[in-house]
Amino acid sequence: MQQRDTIDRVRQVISDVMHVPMDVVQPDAILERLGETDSLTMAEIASALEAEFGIRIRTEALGEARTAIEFTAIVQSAVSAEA
Amino acid sequence: MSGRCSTVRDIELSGFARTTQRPRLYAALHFGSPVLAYIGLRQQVEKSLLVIARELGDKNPMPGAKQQFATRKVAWVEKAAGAPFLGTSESDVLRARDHLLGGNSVYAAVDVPGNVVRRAEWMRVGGAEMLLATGILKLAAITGCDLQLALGFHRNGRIVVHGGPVVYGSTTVALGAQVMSCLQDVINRWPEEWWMWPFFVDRVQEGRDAATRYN
Repeated sequence: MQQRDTIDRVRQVISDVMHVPMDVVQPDAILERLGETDSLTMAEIASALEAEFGIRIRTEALGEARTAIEFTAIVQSAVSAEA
Repeated sequence: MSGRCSTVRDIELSGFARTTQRPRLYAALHFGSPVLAYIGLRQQVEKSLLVIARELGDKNPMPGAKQQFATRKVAWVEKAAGAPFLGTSESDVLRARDHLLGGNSVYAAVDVPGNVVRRAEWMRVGGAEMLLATGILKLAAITGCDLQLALGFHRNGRIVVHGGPVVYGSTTVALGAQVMSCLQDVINRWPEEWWMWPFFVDRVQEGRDAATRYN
């Protein structure tokens, strides 16, 4: 999986969940700066990433992730683990 | 129920037979005795059932006397149910998601979890439009679980817990329409148990006069 491709797909997922244009979701943009979040936002992102990449993300792996870069690292780790 | 009693017996449940293999998210309404419905479900249907409830404290302000009562009530429920509550924090909601994805079930009020203002859709019920909180619908949609209203109330000296129709959908809109249909049926059958009449009667009346929408 190419890093560029992965991060763009992650950005698209965040864009869809946060209801903001994808160009606003810069790789290092923090979720809370993109719009209002609540207790369900992270669960939504985790589920959307799982659907997009066909992986299972462990809750512990999410840690303090807040940017597309950080979510991309989690996705890549999950993909590697399941390969 | 007294402060010294830490068990609840003889709860009568109906409508909770398994019809699918999916985990289930039980939704409580502002209706009857949601706490006893949770205890009944946990005792008789699913021992691993977890409940999501708003934390007491700064994020859930209330008058002192009510706070004191609520604190004791939560302690009693946790003891009677044999499990601590999940709160509404991000980490607790993620735990609830894990629990559902692991094939277990979760119980929550229909306006928990999520931001009740941000996550709401206008729905029509009883001749008026009302905002339905959709956080619980979102949790059901993203985990692919079934959703079922669970209603506890007293009848003939017993606690009964009734399960509404099991609904399933991949979007909050699809689930919301089904839940509103269930809600309408529940209000028709047991109108005296619904807590929301004081907020709703005027809305129906005014809804007839003008297509007014209410928050």
